[in-house]
Amino acid sequence: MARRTVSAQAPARAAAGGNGPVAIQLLDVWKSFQAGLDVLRGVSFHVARGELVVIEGATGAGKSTLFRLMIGAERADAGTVFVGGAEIRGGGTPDLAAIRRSMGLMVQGVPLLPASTVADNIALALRAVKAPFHDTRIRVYEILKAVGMEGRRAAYPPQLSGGELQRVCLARALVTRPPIVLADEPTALVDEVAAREVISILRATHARGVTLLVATHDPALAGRLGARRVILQAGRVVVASPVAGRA
Amino acid sequence: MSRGQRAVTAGVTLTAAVVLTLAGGCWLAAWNAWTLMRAWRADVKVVVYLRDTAAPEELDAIRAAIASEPAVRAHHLVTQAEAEAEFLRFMQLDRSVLEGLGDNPFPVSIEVSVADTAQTPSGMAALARRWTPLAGVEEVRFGEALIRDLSAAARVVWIVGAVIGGALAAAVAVVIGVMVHISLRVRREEISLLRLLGASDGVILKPFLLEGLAIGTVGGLAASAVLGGAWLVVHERWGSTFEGLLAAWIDRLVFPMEFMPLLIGLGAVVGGAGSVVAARRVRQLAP
Repeated sequence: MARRTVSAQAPARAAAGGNGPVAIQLLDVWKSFQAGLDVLRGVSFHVARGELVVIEGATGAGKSTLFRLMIGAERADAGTVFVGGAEIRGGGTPDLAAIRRSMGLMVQGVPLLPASTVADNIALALRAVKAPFHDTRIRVYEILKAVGMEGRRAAYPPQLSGGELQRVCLARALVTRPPIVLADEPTALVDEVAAREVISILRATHARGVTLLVATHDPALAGRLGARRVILQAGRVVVASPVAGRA
Repeated sequence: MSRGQRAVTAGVTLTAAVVLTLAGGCWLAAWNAWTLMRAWRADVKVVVYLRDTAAPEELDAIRAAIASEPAVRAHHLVTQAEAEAEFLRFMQLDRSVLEGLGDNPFPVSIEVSVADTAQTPSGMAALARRWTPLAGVEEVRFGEALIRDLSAAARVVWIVGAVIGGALAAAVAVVIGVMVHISLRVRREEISLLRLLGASDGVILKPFLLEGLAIGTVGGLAASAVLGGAWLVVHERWGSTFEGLLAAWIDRLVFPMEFMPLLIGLGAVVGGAGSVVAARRVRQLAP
Protein backbone atom coordinates (compact mmCIF):
# COMPACT_ATOMS: atom_id res chain seq x y z
CA MET A 1 0.00 0.00 0.00
CA ALA A 2 1.35 3.43 -0.91
CA ARG A 3 2.11 5.70 1.98
CA ARG A 4 0.11 8.90 2.27
CA THR A 5 1.64 12.11 3.47
CA VAL A 6 -0.33 13.72 6.24
CA SER A 7 0.10 17.35 7.10
CA ALA A 8 1.53 18.11 10.49
CA GLN A 9 -1.23 20.66 10.74
CA ALA A 10 -3.88 17.94 10.82
CA PRO A 11 -6.80 18.80 13.05
CA ALA A 12 -6.24 17.90 16.67
CA ARG A 13 -9.94 17.31 17.15
CA ALA A 14 -11.30 14.01 16.03
CA ALA A 15 -13.55 14.24 13.04
CA ALA A 16 -15.41 11.06 13.83
CA GLY A 17 -17.03 11.97 17.08
CA GLY A 18 -15.63 11.76 20.61
CA ASN A 19 -16.69 13.17 23.91
CA GLY A 20 -14.18 15.99 24.24
CA PRO A 21 -10.95 17.42 22.90
CA VAL A 22 -8.56 14.83 21.59
CA ALA A 23 -5.94 13.48 23.99
CA ILE A 24 -4.18 11.20 21.51
CA GLN A 25 -4.44 11.13 17.75
CA LEU A 26 -2.65 9.08 15.11
CA LEU A 27 -2.99 9.96 11.44
CA ASP A 28 -1.82 7.47 8.83
CA VAL A 29 1.17 6.35 10.89
CA TRP A 30 3.77 4.06 9.30
CA LYS A 31 6.70 2.45 11.01
CA SER A 32 9.19 -0.23 10.08
CA PHE A 33 12.35 -1.41 11.78
CA GLN A 34 13.55 -3.35 8.74
CA ALA A 35 13.28 -2.37 5.09
CA GLY A 36 10.14 -3.85 3.55
CA LEU A 37 8.77 -5.06 6.87
CA ASP A 38 6.23 -2.54 8.16
CA VAL A 39 5.18 -2.91 11.78
CA LEU A 40 2.54 -0.18 11.45
CA ARG A 41 0.78 0.42 8.16
CA GLY A 42 -1.23 3.60 7.97
CA VAL A 43 -2.67 3.48 11.48
CA SER A 44 -5.20 6.21 12.28
CA PHE A 45 -7.34 6.55 15.38
CA HIS A 46 -7.91 8.96 18.21
CA VAL A 47 -8.60 8.88 21.90
CA ALA A 48 -10.74 11.66 23.34
CA ARG A 49 -9.80 13.27 26.60
CA GLY A 50 -11.12 11.17 29.48
CA GLU A 51 -11.83 8.23 27.20
CA LEU A 52 -10.95 4.58 27.86
CA VAL A 53 -9.75 2.78 24.75
CA VAL A 54 -8.42 -0.74 24.40
CA ILE A 55 -6.11 -1.61 21.52
CA GLU A 56 -6.48 -5.30 20.81
CA GLY A 57 -4.06 -7.33 18.79
CA ALA A 58 -1.97 -10.47 18.76
CA THR A 59 1.72 -10.41 19.63
CA GLY A 60 3.56 -8.52 16.89
CA ALA A 61 0.47 -6.60 15.78
CA GLY A 62 2.26 -3.33 16.57
CA LYS A 63 0.64 -2.36 19.90
CA SER A 64 3.88 -1.73 21.76
CA THR A 65 5.34 0.16 18.80
CA LEU A 66 2.31 2.44 18.89
CA PHE A 67 2.99 3.20 22.52
CA ARG A 68 6.68 3.82 21.86
CA LEU A 69 5.72 6.32 19.14
CA MET A 70 3.37 8.09 21.57
CA ILE A 71 6.09 8.54 24.19
CA GLY A 72 8.67 9.66 21.62
CA ALA A 73 10.92 6.63 22.12
CA GLU A 74 10.56 5.97 18.38
CA ARG A 75 9.74 8.24 15.45
CA ALA A 76 7.12 7.41 12.83
CA ASP A 77 8.45 6.89 9.30
CA ALA A 78 5.36 8.66 7.99
CA GLY A 79 2.15 10.05 9.42
CA THR A 80 1.60 12.10 12.53
CA VAL A 81 1.23 11.35 16.23
CA PHE A 82 -0.34 13.92 18.53
CA VAL A 83 -0.46 13.72 22.30
CA GLY A 84 -2.30 16.48 24.13
CA GLY A 85 -2.26 18.56 20.97
CA ALA A 86 1.53 18.35 20.56
CA GLU A 87 3.07 16.54 17.63
CA ILE A 88 5.44 13.78 18.70
CA ARG A 89 8.49 13.42 16.49
CA GLY A 90 10.67 11.00 18.39
CA GLY A 91 13.50 12.18 20.65
CA GLY A 92 13.69 15.56 18.93
CA THR A 93 10.17 16.60 19.95
CA PRO A 94 10.14 20.05 21.54
CA ASP A 95 9.12 19.85 25.21
CA LEU A 96 9.15 16.05 25.03
CA ALA A 97 9.96 15.82 28.75
CA ALA A 98 6.86 17.86 29.63
CA ILE A 99 4.70 15.72 27.31
CA ARG A 100 6.08 12.56 28.92
CA ARG A 101 5.35 13.96 32.36
CA SER A 102 1.69 14.22 31.33
CA MET A 103 1.62 10.44 30.80
CA GLY A 104 1.75 7.49 33.16
CA LEU A 105 3.63 4.68 31.48
CA MET A 106 3.20 0.98 31.92
CA VAL A 107 4.96 0.24 28.69
CA GLN A 108 7.55 -2.20 27.36
CA GLY A 109 10.94 -0.52 27.36
CA VAL A 110 10.16 1.41 30.53
CA PRO A 111 11.36 -1.24 32.95
CA LEU A 112 11.81 -1.33 36.70
CA LEU A 113 15.35 -0.88 37.98
CA PRO A 114 16.39 -4.29 39.30
CA ALA A 115 18.83 -2.88 41.87
CA SER A 116 16.27 -0.48 43.39
CA THR A 117 13.48 -1.43 45.75
CA VAL A 118 9.84 -1.30 44.74
CA ALA A 119 9.40 1.93 46.71
CA ASP A 120 12.48 3.52 45.11
CA ASN A 121 11.30 2.53 41.64
CA ILE A 122 8.00 4.27 42.22
CA ALA A 123 9.68 7.27 43.83
CA LEU A 124 11.73 7.64 40.64
CA ALA A 125 8.56 8.63 38.76
CA LEU A 126 7.83 11.27 41.41
CA ARG A 127 11.41 12.52 41.11
CA ALA A 128 10.95 12.85 37.35
CA VAL A 129 7.93 15.15 37.81
CA LYS A 130 9.67 17.10 40.62
CA ALA A 131 7.07 16.11 43.20
CA PRO A 132 7.79 17.64 46.63
CA PHE A 133 10.28 15.43 48.44
CA HIS A 134 8.30 15.40 51.68
CA ASP A 135 5.28 13.99 49.82
CA THR A 136 7.18 11.12 48.23
CA ARG A 137 6.99 8.55 51.02
CA ILE A 138 3.30 8.96 51.66
CA ARG A 139 2.39 8.98 47.96
CA VAL A 140 4.46 5.87 47.32
CA TYR A 141 2.78 4.13 50.26
CA GLU A 142 -0.71 5.18 49.13
CA ILE A 143 -0.26 3.96 45.56
CA LEU A 144 1.31 0.68 46.71
CA LYS A 145 -1.65 0.18 49.02
CA ALA A 146 -4.02 0.89 46.13
CA VAL A 147 -2.43 -1.90 44.06
CA GLY A 148 -2.11 -4.21 47.07
CA MET A 149 1.68 -4.13 47.19
CA GLU A 150 2.35 -2.10 50.33
CA GLY A 151 3.83 -5.16 52.02
CA ARG A 152 6.41 -5.56 49.25
CA ARG A 153 7.74 -2.01 49.12
CA ALA A 154 11.22 -3.04 50.30
CA ALA A 155 11.47 -5.94 47.83
CA TYR A 156 13.59 -5.80 44.69
CA PRO A 157 12.01 -6.47 41.27
CA PRO A 158 13.86 -9.79 40.72
CA GLN A 159 12.17 -11.03 43.90
CA LEU A 160 8.65 -10.36 42.54
CA SER A 161 6.29 -12.60 40.61
CA GLY A 162 5.01 -11.59 37.15
CA GLY A 163 1.73 -10.35 38.61
CA GLU A 164 3.49 -8.34 41.29
CA LEU A 165 5.76 -6.75 38.69
CA GLN A 166 2.70 -5.71 36.67
CA ARG A 167 1.12 -4.12 39.71
CA VAL A 168 4.31 -2.24 40.59
CA CYS A 169 4.55 -0.95 37.01
CA LEU A 170 0.92 0.13 37.22
CA ALA A 171 1.59 1.86 40.53
CA ARG A 172 4.53 3.72 39.01
CA ALA A 173 2.33 4.81 36.08
CA LEU A 174 -0.38 6.15 38.41
CA VAL A 175 1.64 7.65 41.25
CA THR A 176 2.16 11.00 39.50
CA ARG A 177 -1.60 11.30 38.87
CA PRO A 178 -1.12 11.94 35.13
CA PRO A 179 -4.01 12.98 32.85
CA ILE A 180 -3.11 10.21 30.36
CA VAL A 181 -2.14 6.61 31.17
CA LEU A 182 -0.72 4.11 28.68
CA ALA A 183 -0.91 0.51 29.89
CA ASP A 184 0.62 -2.25 27.81
CA GLU A 185 -0.72 -5.73 28.65
CA PRO A 186 -1.68 -4.82 32.24
CA THR A 187 -3.32 -8.19 32.87
CA ALA A 188 -0.70 -10.37 31.23
CA LEU A 189 1.20 -12.75 33.52
CA VAL A 190 -1.32 -12.33 36.34
CA ASP A 191 -3.82 -14.81 37.71
CA GLU A 192 -7.55 -14.18 37.56
CA VAL A 193 -7.73 -12.65 41.06
CA ALA A 194 -4.91 -10.25 40.35
CA ALA A 195 -6.37 -9.45 36.91
CA ARG A 196 -9.66 -8.46 38.55
CA GLU A 197 -7.76 -6.16 40.91
CA VAL A 198 -5.86 -4.55 38.03
CA ILE A 199 -9.09 -4.06 36.07
CA SER A 200 -10.72 -2.52 39.10
CA ILE A 201 -7.79 -0.08 39.52
CA LEU A 202 -7.92 0.84 35.83
CA ARG A 203 -11.65 1.49 35.99
CA ALA A 204 -11.26 3.60 39.11
CA THR A 205 -8.48 5.54 37.41
CA HIS A 206 -10.67 6.16 34.38
CA ALA A 207 -13.56 7.16 36.62
CA ARG A 208 -11.37 10.02 37.90
CA GLY A 209 -11.33 11.43 34.35
CA VAL A 210 -7.98 10.03 33.30
CA THR A 211 -7.54 9.21 29.60
CA LEU A 212 -6.67 5.52 29.49
CA LEU A 213 -5.20 3.66 26.55
CA VAL A 214 -4.75 -0.05 27.17
CA ALA A 215 -3.03 -2.50 24.84
CA THR A 216 -3.86 -6.19 25.17
CA HIS A 217 -3.98 -9.45 23.32
CA ASP A 218 -6.97 -10.50 25.48
CA PRO A 219 -10.22 -10.06 23.47
CA ALA A 220 -12.27 -10.06 26.68
CA LEU A 221 -10.50 -7.14 28.35
CA ALA A 222 -12.29 -4.36 26.44
CA GLY A 223 -15.62 -5.76 27.55
CA ARG A 224 -14.48 -6.10 31.16
CA LEU A 225 -13.25 -2.52 31.14
CA GLY A 226 -16.30 -1.20 29.28
CA ALA A 227 -13.93 0.40 26.77
CA ARG A 228 -13.98 1.36 23.11
CA ARG A 229 -12.00 -1.15 21.04
CA VAL A 230 -9.42 -0.55 18.37
CA ILE A 231 -8.35 -3.84 16.82
CA LEU A 232 -4.91 -3.95 15.30
CA GLN A 233 -3.95 -6.70 12.90
CA ALA A 234 -0.57 -6.91 11.20
CA GLY A 235 0.03 -3.23 11.72
CA ARG A 236 -3.39 -2.05 10.50
CA VAL A 237 -6.54 -0.93 12.29
CA VAL A 238 -9.17 -3.42 11.20
CA VAL A 239 -11.95 -2.53 13.62
CA ALA A 240 -12.59 0.66 15.56
CA SER A 241 -15.73 0.29 17.61
CA PRO A 242 -18.01 3.31 18.08
CA VAL A 243 -17.26 5.73 20.85
CA ALA A 244 -18.80 4.32 23.99
CA GLY A 245 -18.38 7.38 26.18
CA ARG A 246 -17.17 7.33 29.73
CA ALA A 247 -17.53 4.02 31.51
CA MET B 1 23.98 3.86 45.62
CA SER B 2 25.59 0.44 45.33
CA ARG B 3 28.61 -0.69 47.36
CA GLY B 4 30.82 -0.36 44.26
CA GLN B 5 29.65 3.21 43.64
CA ARG B 6 30.26 4.09 47.28
CA ALA B 7 33.81 2.72 47.00
CA VAL B 8 34.44 4.75 43.82
CA THR B 9 33.08 7.91 45.50
CA ALA B 10 35.24 7.32 48.60
CA GLY B 11 38.32 6.72 46.45
CA VAL B 12 37.73 9.87 44.42
CA THR B 13 37.10 11.93 47.56
CA LEU B 14 40.39 10.68 49.01
CA THR B 15 42.22 11.43 45.76
CA ALA B 16 40.69 14.91 45.63
CA ALA B 17 41.74 15.50 49.24
CA VAL B 18 45.32 14.34 48.58
CA VAL B 19 45.72 16.38 45.38
CA LEU B 20 44.11 19.45 46.99
CA THR B 21 46.49 19.04 49.93
CA LEU B 22 49.41 19.01 47.52
CA ALA B 23 48.01 22.04 45.65
CA GLY B 24 47.33 23.87 48.90
CA GLY B 25 50.79 22.92 50.15
CA CYS B 26 52.33 24.42 47.01
CA TRP B 27 50.41 27.65 47.43
CA LEU B 28 51.17 27.81 51.13
CA ALA B 29 54.87 27.20 50.50
CA ALA B 30 54.88 29.79 47.72
CA TRP B 31 53.04 32.28 49.91
CA ASN B 32 55.45 31.76 52.79
CA ALA B 33 58.51 31.92 50.56
CA TRP B 34 57.19 35.09 48.97
CA THR B 35 56.37 36.62 52.36
CA LEU B 36 59.78 35.64 53.69
CA MET B 37 61.56 37.17 50.75
CA ARG B 38 59.56 40.34 51.12
CA ALA B 39 60.51 40.41 54.79
CA TRP B 40 64.17 39.90 53.95
CA ARG B 41 63.92 42.61 51.36
CA ALA B 42 62.34 44.90 53.94
CA ASP B 43 65.33 44.21 56.22
CA VAL B 44 67.69 45.56 53.58
CA LYS B 45 68.51 49.16 54.44
CA VAL B 46 69.99 52.05 52.50
CA VAL B 47 73.18 53.03 54.39
CA VAL B 48 74.47 56.59 54.02
CA TYR B 49 78.14 56.64 55.08
CA LEU B 50 79.40 60.01 56.28
CA ARG B 51 82.84 61.54 55.85
CA ASP B 52 84.99 61.70 58.99
CA THR B 53 85.19 65.42 58.33
CA ALA B 54 81.46 65.99 58.11
CA ALA B 55 80.43 69.07 60.14
CA PRO B 56 77.48 68.89 62.53
CA GLU B 57 75.44 71.28 60.30
CA GLU B 58 76.15 69.01 57.31
CA LEU B 59 74.91 66.03 59.34
CA ASP B 60 71.72 67.96 60.19
CA ALA B 61 71.18 68.83 56.54
CA ILE B 62 71.67 65.19 55.50
CA ARG B 63 69.21 63.97 58.14
CA ALA B 64 66.69 66.61 57.06
CA ALA B 65 67.05 65.56 53.42
CA ILE B 66 66.52 61.90 54.33
CA ALA B 67 63.50 62.67 56.53
CA SER B 68 61.87 64.71 53.77
CA GLU B 69 61.68 61.70 51.42
CA PRO B 70 58.13 60.17 51.38
CA ALA B 71 59.64 56.70 50.71
CA VAL B 72 61.60 56.76 53.99
CA ARG B 73 59.98 54.78 56.79
CA ALA B 74 62.64 55.33 59.48
CA HIS B 75 66.26 56.38 59.78
CA HIS B 76 68.82 55.89 62.50
CA LEU B 77 72.23 57.43 63.10
CA VAL B 78 74.87 54.78 63.79
CA THR B 79 77.86 56.19 65.68
CA GLN B 80 81.40 54.86 65.31
CA ALA B 81 81.08 53.09 68.69
CA GLU B 82 77.78 51.48 67.70
CA ALA B 83 79.19 50.37 64.37
CA GLU B 84 82.18 48.79 66.07
CA ALA B 85 79.98 47.03 68.63
CA GLU B 86 77.66 45.70 65.92
CA PHE B 87 80.66 44.43 63.92
CA LEU B 88 82.07 42.59 66.93
CA ARG B 89 78.65 41.12 67.82
CA PHE B 90 77.97 39.98 64.28
CA MET B 91 81.43 38.47 63.82
CA GLN B 92 81.41 37.09 67.39
CA LEU B 93 84.84 38.57 68.04
CA ASP B 94 86.51 40.04 71.06
CA ARG B 95 87.46 43.75 71.14
CA SER B 96 91.10 42.79 71.47
CA VAL B 97 91.29 41.96 67.75
CA LEU B 98 90.86 45.69 66.97
CA GLU B 99 93.59 46.85 69.33
CA GLY B 100 96.25 47.15 66.64
CA LEU B 101 94.06 49.36 64.45
CA GLY B 102 94.41 52.50 66.55
CA ASP B 103 91.35 54.80 66.47
CA ASN B 104 87.92 53.37 65.76
CA PRO B 105 88.04 52.73 61.98
CA PHE B 106 84.25 52.42 61.49
CA PRO B 107 82.57 55.38 59.83
CA VAL B 108 79.50 57.16 61.13
CA SER B 109 76.47 56.19 59.05
CA ILE B 110 72.71 56.66 58.78
CA GLU B 111 70.66 53.47 58.25
CA VAL B 112 67.48 54.15 56.34
CA SER B 113 64.47 51.80 56.18
CA VAL B 114 62.28 52.43 53.16
CA ALA B 115 58.61 51.80 52.51
CA ASP B 116 57.44 48.66 50.59
CA THR B 117 56.91 50.65 47.42
CA ALA B 118 60.53 51.76 47.32
CA GLN B 119 62.01 48.32 48.10
CA THR B 120 63.11 47.81 44.54
CA PRO B 121 66.53 48.18 42.94
CA SER B 122 65.33 51.23 41.00
CA GLY B 123 63.58 52.80 44.00
CA MET B 124 66.62 52.47 46.22
CA ALA B 125 69.00 53.59 43.46
CA ALA B 126 66.93 56.76 43.03
CA LEU B 127 67.31 57.55 46.73
CA ALA B 128 71.04 56.83 46.57
CA ARG B 129 71.43 59.18 43.57
CA ARG B 130 69.73 62.00 45.48
CA TRP B 131 71.75 61.57 48.68
CA THR B 132 75.25 60.87 47.29
CA PRO B 133 75.95 64.51 46.22
CA LEU B 134 75.02 65.94 49.64
CA ALA B 135 77.89 67.65 51.47
CA GLY B 136 79.42 65.33 54.08
CA VAL B 137 78.30 62.09 52.40
CA GLU B 138 81.09 59.63 51.62
CA GLU B 139 78.96 57.07 49.77
CA VAL B 140 75.50 55.45 49.77
CA ARG B 141 75.07 51.65 49.67
CA PHE B 142 71.93 49.58 49.58
CA GLY B 143 72.82 46.03 48.49
CA GLU B 144 71.54 46.43 44.96
CA ALA B 145 72.42 42.88 43.93
CA LEU B 146 70.69 41.39 46.98
CA ILE B 147 67.53 43.43 46.41
CA ARG B 148 67.47 42.41 42.75
CA ASP B 149 67.99 38.72 43.58
CA LEU B 150 65.35 38.71 46.31
CA SER B 151 62.81 40.44 44.04
CA ALA B 152 63.48 37.95 41.24
CA ALA B 153 63.36 34.97 43.63
CA ALA B 154 60.05 36.15 45.13
CA ARG B 155 58.58 36.43 41.64
CA VAL B 156 59.84 32.99 40.57
CA VAL B 157 58.62 31.31 43.75
CA TRP B 158 55.19 32.90 43.36
CA ILE B 159 54.88 31.89 39.70
CA VAL B 160 56.14 28.32 40.24
CA GLY B 161 53.84 27.81 43.24
CA ALA B 162 50.84 29.22 41.39
CA VAL B 163 51.50 27.11 38.28
CA ILE B 164 52.07 23.82 40.14
CA GLY B 165 49.11 24.50 42.46
CA GLY B 166 46.93 25.46 39.49
CA ALA B 167 47.89 22.29 37.63
CA LEU B 168 47.06 20.19 40.69
CA ALA B 169 43.70 21.96 41.10
CA ALA B 170 42.97 21.21 37.44
CA ALA B 171 43.90 17.59 38.15
CA VAL B 172 41.25 17.53 40.90
CA ALA B 173 38.65 18.78 38.41
CA VAL B 174 39.69 16.07 35.95
CA VAL B 175 39.57 13.31 38.59
CA ILE B 176 36.11 14.38 39.78
CA GLY B 177 34.94 14.79 36.17
CA VAL B 178 36.08 11.26 35.34
CA MET B 179 34.33 9.92 38.43
CA VAL B 180 31.07 11.69 37.50
CA HIS B 181 31.43 10.37 33.95
CA ILE B 182 31.88 6.80 35.26
CA SER B 183 28.95 7.32 37.60
CA LEU B 184 26.79 8.51 34.69
CA ARG B 185 27.76 5.42 32.69
CA VAL B 186 27.05 3.08 35.60
CA ARG B 187 23.64 4.67 36.10
CA ARG B 188 22.81 4.92 32.39
CA GLU B 189 19.80 2.64 32.81
CA GLU B 190 18.37 4.85 35.53
CA ILE B 191 19.02 7.98 33.46
CA SER B 192 17.28 6.48 30.40
CA LEU B 193 14.34 5.55 32.58
CA LEU B 194 14.15 9.03 34.08
CA ARG B 195 14.14 10.48 30.56
CA LEU B 196 11.24 8.23 29.55
CA LEU B 197 9.38 9.27 32.68
CA GLY B 198 9.73 12.91 31.63
CA ALA B 199 12.55 14.12 33.86
CA SER B 200 14.25 17.30 32.66
CA ASP B 201 18.04 17.48 32.25
CA GLY B 202 18.17 19.49 35.47
CA VAL B 203 16.42 16.78 37.46
CA ILE B 204 18.65 14.09 35.97
CA LEU B 205 21.94 15.92 36.43
CA LYS B 206 21.31 17.51 39.83
CA PRO B 207 22.50 14.53 41.92
CA PHE B 208 25.66 14.17 39.83
CA LEU B 209 26.49 17.87 40.07
CA LEU B 210 25.83 17.84 43.80
CA GLU B 211 28.04 14.78 44.12
CA GLY B 212 30.94 16.55 42.35
CA LEU B 213 30.39 19.64 44.46
CA ALA B 214 30.27 17.61 47.67
CA ILE B 215 33.40 15.62 46.82
CA GLY B 216 35.31 18.83 46.04
CA THR B 217 34.10 20.47 49.25
CA VAL B 218 34.98 17.47 51.41
CA GLY B 219 38.37 17.24 49.64
CA GLY B 220 38.98 20.95 50.35
CA LEU B 221 37.95 20.51 53.99
CA ALA B 222 40.28 17.54 54.42
CA ALA B 223 43.13 19.39 52.70
CA SER B 224 42.61 22.44 54.97
CA ALA B 225 42.65 20.23 58.04
CA VAL B 226 45.81 18.40 56.95
CA LEU B 227 47.66 21.60 56.05
CA GLY B 228 46.48 23.38 59.21
CA GLY B 229 47.64 20.43 61.29
CA ALA B 230 50.96 20.28 59.47
CA TRP B 231 51.52 23.99 60.05
CA LEU B 232 50.76 23.61 63.75
CA VAL B 233 53.24 20.73 64.03
CA VAL B 234 55.97 22.61 62.14
CA HIS B 235 55.39 25.95 63.83
CA GLU B 236 54.65 24.89 67.40
CA ARG B 237 56.86 21.84 67.78
CA TRP B 238 59.77 22.22 65.37
CA GLY B 239 60.04 25.98 66.02
CA SER B 240 61.23 25.24 69.52
CA THR B 241 63.37 22.24 68.49
CA PHE B 242 65.68 24.09 66.13
CA GLU B 243 67.86 27.09 66.81
CA GLY B 244 69.45 29.87 64.84
CA LEU B 245 68.45 30.70 61.27
CA LEU B 246 66.09 27.68 60.83
CA ALA B 247 64.19 28.55 64.01
CA ALA B 248 63.92 32.17 62.86
CA TRP B 249 62.68 31.00 59.50
CA ILE B 250 60.13 28.60 61.02
CA ASP B 251 59.01 31.38 63.33
CA ARG B 252 58.24 33.51 60.33
CA LEU B 253 56.01 30.83 58.68
CA VAL B 254 52.39 31.93 58.44
CA PHE B 255 49.15 30.06 57.86
CA PRO B 256 46.61 32.71 56.88
CA MET B 257 43.16 31.85 58.22
CA GLU B 258 41.62 33.02 54.93
CA PHE B 259 43.45 30.13 53.31
CA MET B 260 41.04 27.52 54.76
CA PRO B 261 37.77 28.87 53.30
CA LEU B 262 39.63 29.60 50.07
CA LEU B 263 40.82 26.00 49.78
CA ILE B 264 37.35 24.64 50.64
CA GLY B 265 35.77 27.01 48.13
CA LEU B 266 38.33 26.02 45.53
CA GLY B 267 37.54 22.35 46.15
CA ALA B 268 33.84 23.05 45.65
CA VAL B 269 34.49 25.05 42.48
CA VAL B 270 36.78 22.48 40.83
CA GLY B 271 34.46 19.64 41.92
CA GLY B 272 31.45 21.44 40.46
CA ALA B 273 33.36 22.38 37.30
CA GLY B 274 34.57 18.81 36.77
CA SER B 275 31.10 17.38 37.16
CA VAL B 276 29.52 20.04 34.91
CA VAL B 277 31.98 19.21 32.12
CA ALA B 278 31.33 15.47 32.53
CA ALA B 279 27.56 15.91 32.80
CA ARG B 280 27.41 17.78 29.50
CA ARG B 281 27.75 14.38 27.83
CA VAL B 282 24.68 12.91 29.49
CA ARG B 283 22.59 13.18 26.30
CA GLN B 284 25.15 11.08 24.44
CA LEU B 285 25.07 8.45 27.19
CA ALA B 286 21.30 8.23 27.48
CA PRO B 287 19.52 9.95 24.58
